[in-house]
Amino acid sequence: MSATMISLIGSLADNKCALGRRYGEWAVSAPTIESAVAAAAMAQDELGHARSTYPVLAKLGVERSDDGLDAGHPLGVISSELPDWASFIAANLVVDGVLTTFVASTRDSSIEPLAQRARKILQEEGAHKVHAGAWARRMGQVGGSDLELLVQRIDEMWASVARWPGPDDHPGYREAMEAGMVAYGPAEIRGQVRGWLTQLVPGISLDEPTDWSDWDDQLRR
Amino acid sequence: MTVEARLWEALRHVEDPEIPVSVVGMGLIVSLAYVESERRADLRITFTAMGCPAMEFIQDDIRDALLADPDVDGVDIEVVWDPVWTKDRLRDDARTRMRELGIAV
Repeated sequence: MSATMISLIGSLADNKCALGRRYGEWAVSAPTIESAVAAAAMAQDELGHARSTYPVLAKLGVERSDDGLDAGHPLGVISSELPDWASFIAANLVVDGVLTTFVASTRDSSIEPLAQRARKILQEEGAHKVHAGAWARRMGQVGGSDLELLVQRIDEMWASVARWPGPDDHPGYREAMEAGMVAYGPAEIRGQVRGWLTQLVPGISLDEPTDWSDWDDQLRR
Repeated sequence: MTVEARLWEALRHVEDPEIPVSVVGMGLIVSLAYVESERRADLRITFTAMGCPAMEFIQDDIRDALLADPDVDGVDIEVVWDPVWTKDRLRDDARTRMRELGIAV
């Protein structure tokens, strides 16, 4: 099995676990009762996705524990509590956006257990995208400091999360594409998320990462 | 009545802990097969959500219900996510019951 795919699947589960925890922390302090309920529901979804994704590794012969909420090595931007609501929405847009776009690339994966889960995850992620989009539009309409902070948080998250898929010419990723494990590569993932976000949020410009000199293909950061 | 028919009947008495509708009515059971040579029931199940907090309770209840059959010594349950559960999997009797409970379906 491709080491790249094992890294991607394990990191996907780790990050979904962390994202679920971050969402859950806002379930009692979101700015509206509706968003508090949404935060709880999305937390439940993400933890369920993590719990269902770890067994894919086992099916590929890789032993990984999913014990506890702090398993694995998630991205730094979601490793600790999100400091403000703009960070929550930025995570909803950028982290959820990149991870879900990767999952979409595995919908018809030759790794059948992954493909099966992808279809269910994508069904559930539809509501997350609606939530993120609605809040981005709302903050965009309000403008002012709310929008400025959202743009800052998106920029901060993008700088880290855009690197998660890795360089577009990564040999392991190319092999995974050729073997039908994923339908498209890192640049396409970033491009799809960038296209969505730049239409949604005025004033952001999300660059393609260029410096991969310190990138770790196991930690994916 | 065949063993398999009895097992389906047993499953009709296993309710979702959150909604008083059976796992059969909810459309959670993807397949059920009785392996006579091993006196084992093989069941594939899906859930409405990957984060469903009742997944383990439901599997325990199913296991208990099937093991109550005199011809079953073992139950093998596999959780699957394909087919993806949608409201289309609800049976008509379950829809009726849910509407009676004020749940929109």
